[in-house]
Amino acid sequence: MTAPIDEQLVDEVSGQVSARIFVDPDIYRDELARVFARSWLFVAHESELPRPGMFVTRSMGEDPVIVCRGADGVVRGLLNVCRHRGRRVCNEDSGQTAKFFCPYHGWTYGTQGELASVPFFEAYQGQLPLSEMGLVQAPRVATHHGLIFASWEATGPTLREFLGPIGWVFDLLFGRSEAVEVVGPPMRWIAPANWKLAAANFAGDGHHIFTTHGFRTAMGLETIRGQRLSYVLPSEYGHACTLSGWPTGVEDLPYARLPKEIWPEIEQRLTREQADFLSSLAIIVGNVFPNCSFLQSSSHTPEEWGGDPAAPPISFLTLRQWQPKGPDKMEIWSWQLVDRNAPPEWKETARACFTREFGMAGVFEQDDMANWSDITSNLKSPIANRLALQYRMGLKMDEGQEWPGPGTAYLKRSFEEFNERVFYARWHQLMTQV
Amino acid sequence: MHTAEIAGLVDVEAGLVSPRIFNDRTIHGLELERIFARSWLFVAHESEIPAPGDFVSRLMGTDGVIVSRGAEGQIRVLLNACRHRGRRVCMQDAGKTAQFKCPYHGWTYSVSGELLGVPFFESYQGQLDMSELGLLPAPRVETCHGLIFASWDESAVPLSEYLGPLAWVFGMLFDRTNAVEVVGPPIRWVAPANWKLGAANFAGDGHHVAVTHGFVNSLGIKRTPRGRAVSYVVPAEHGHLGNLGGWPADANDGPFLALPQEIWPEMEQRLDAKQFELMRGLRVIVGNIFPNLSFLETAATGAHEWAGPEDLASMSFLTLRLWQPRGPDWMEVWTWQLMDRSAPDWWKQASRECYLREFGPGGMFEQDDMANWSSITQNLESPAARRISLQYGMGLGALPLEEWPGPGLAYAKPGVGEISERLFYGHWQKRMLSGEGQR
Repeated sequence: MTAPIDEQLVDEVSGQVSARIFVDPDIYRDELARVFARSWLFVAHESELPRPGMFVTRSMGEDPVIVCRGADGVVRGLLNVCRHRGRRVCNEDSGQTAKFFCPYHGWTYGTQGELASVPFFEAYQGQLPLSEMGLVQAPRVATHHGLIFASWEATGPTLREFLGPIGWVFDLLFGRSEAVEVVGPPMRWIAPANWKLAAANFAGDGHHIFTTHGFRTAMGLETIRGQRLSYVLPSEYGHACTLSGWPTGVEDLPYARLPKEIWPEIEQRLTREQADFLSSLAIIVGNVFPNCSFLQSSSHTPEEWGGDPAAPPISFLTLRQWQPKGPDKMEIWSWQLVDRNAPPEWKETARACFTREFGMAGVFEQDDMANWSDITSNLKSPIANRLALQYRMGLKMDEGQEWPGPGTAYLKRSFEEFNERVFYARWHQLMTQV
Repeated sequence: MHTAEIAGLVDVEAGLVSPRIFNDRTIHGLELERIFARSWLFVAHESEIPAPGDFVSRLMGTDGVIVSRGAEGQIRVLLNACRHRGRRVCMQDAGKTAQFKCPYHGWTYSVSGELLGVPFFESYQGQLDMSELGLLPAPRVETCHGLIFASWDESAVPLSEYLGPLAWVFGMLFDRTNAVEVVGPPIRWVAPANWKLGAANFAGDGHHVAVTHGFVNSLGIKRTPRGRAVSYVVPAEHGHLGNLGGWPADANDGPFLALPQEIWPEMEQRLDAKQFELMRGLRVIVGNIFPNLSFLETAATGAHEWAGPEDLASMSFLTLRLWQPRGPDWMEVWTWQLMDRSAPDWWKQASRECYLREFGPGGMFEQDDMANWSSITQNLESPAARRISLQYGMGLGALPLEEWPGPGLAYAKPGVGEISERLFYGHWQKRMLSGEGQR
């Protein structure tokens, strides 16, 4: 062979990643155990289950869970598997209930996961300890600004430690007003692509925009040009985020184009420094390792979402989860979030903008999916499988001295693949940890 | 999969083949590595990319490749995967271009595969050596009579040596006139069948014709000429087979494979005397180049039954067929028709019509074959069916002929039965057993 073939799966120093990690079924099985069963995973937003008895069904890796606010008001992550024969006890996407009833033999669980009753109980002749047969619970569930995370690991970093400096960025996104809440149920769809391609793309691939989403420049819709102060923010546990500023001298609406009705809330809830920093930004995009991406985007023109060209510009906020369904398949879950006190017409416009850009048929979404699915199918065959893919852009980064948040952020000068290296380095660490 | 397990799959001496080789996922994966990633594979015909900048997208096993003719005329076979993120850089079936641009981040390659441009190149801070990151070229590309082959095995024997005596047979098919060229783009379709069933059938299954394609006799629309004919089976060291079927001496309804008389002088000039004389008596040439390229030129008697002219006793067509593996139980069939450029237009039209009716995707012969191969593939999946041994024992013990005008050796046909298929599966097994270290 004439090509350099790397023997290890990830070389974060030289910036190379083996094609195998996107298609190999053995690596995928390992991933479920080593990455998903050991990380904090996003499962729901608190606004999806505001009252006792409310629940949503979600996935942690490939494990199905019920995220339920118990009668006691506590949110739990319950494995959606009956302890009797393993059937799912909850077959709804969401709802409010007093109990979960297994459709096979009728074992019935309460909203705290406890086994409440078993038909023909006396036939067990006292040999069935009900108290030990509740739905299996994720040992740790924690929230940050309304985002609920769960983990199968009983020990390890707390959610706050896990998020690290990204927790501070989440202040700007999810803690900026009295209530940032989801709009309707999540949209979801299946894509024939490996989940890591999407997670890493959101973690830090800024330069695909000009080619993949080149329609914007081709149609004259591009809004961001010129020098600007931007940062990339890595974190210990593999999360990474890009905070892109407006070009110097560009006068734009403050606070990420959020409506003026909520400015007082922003000023009250964020520090002055955070509020000013938010105003300087056009885009906040990143990924909480392993598979929860976020995007606050303020750079879309009214033309893009079918608005009046004279209308004021707008922004939207989305959470996206890349749920693994096999080496070559993922289920995409996508939420839009809005500040509760924004005016209804602003919310409607933001919804239209979001749906056109990043709904399942959105122009950006379609662009991305064409790439990720093509890569996934293309790397399966024997010769392509031997390639080492290239992540070498910006191997040397400079610390941002003026960075207002915690942790160390680096100056984003042009484009770099730094955040993708952060993502794959953490993945590699978990996959090889003894 | 252990060596002993592979060794038990084919017994050439006894003429037995395990059903497992037609639908086992592990065997399929090994085939892709040990056969397709190492053999010479047909990728295109030169007439598909005549001018600099021309390209076609093809498959080598399951790997997508671009077959292109560079600015200086050189043919290259390039892995269709961007060196940055692995995306296909070319989404067209065929075309003419100066460059391939990856739709993800815009890395741009020349038609010869060099990396020409990388957006935001300065951000690589000198750490990206563009000269090392061209599209991965197949290390070996060679042609034989216009047929382009490529291999990922740097140490593969030269193509002419690989083809062996079949190169001489190919002279009669692809080099007999000044230009034998493809007709239009290849026709292709998907079939739920293992690729080897197609390849081995073309390698040498002559006796299915009477049953599978029995309609021709029962409808009386195409007489298989009766009588003693001189026919040969030509094996090659690397697993290829050629079958040359003659007209009965007293019933030669179409000398020279029923090719039009207008091109006979050209053939006499280009071919050696032995080829020319042999062709005079031939009715059909059919075979397979290991692993998956089949070829067929056959005369159809009763031309009018195939939309040919009323007064024409017979005519013929020439086709190449690739059985592309897509999984253990499905393949993509690629087919080309080829014609002599100097044949008269009326003859070309009639030959095209005849070809499509017989071997197009809806052709009668094609449909007959596909019904068998897909049934076998599906049928052998179940546990009891997987335990039987399939029978390839016809004509065991045949000896080579003393008289054969070509290079290598040949057996007389009929009477050798399933020798071609035994040789195909024997070679398949040999390749599957060849060490992993040789990838």
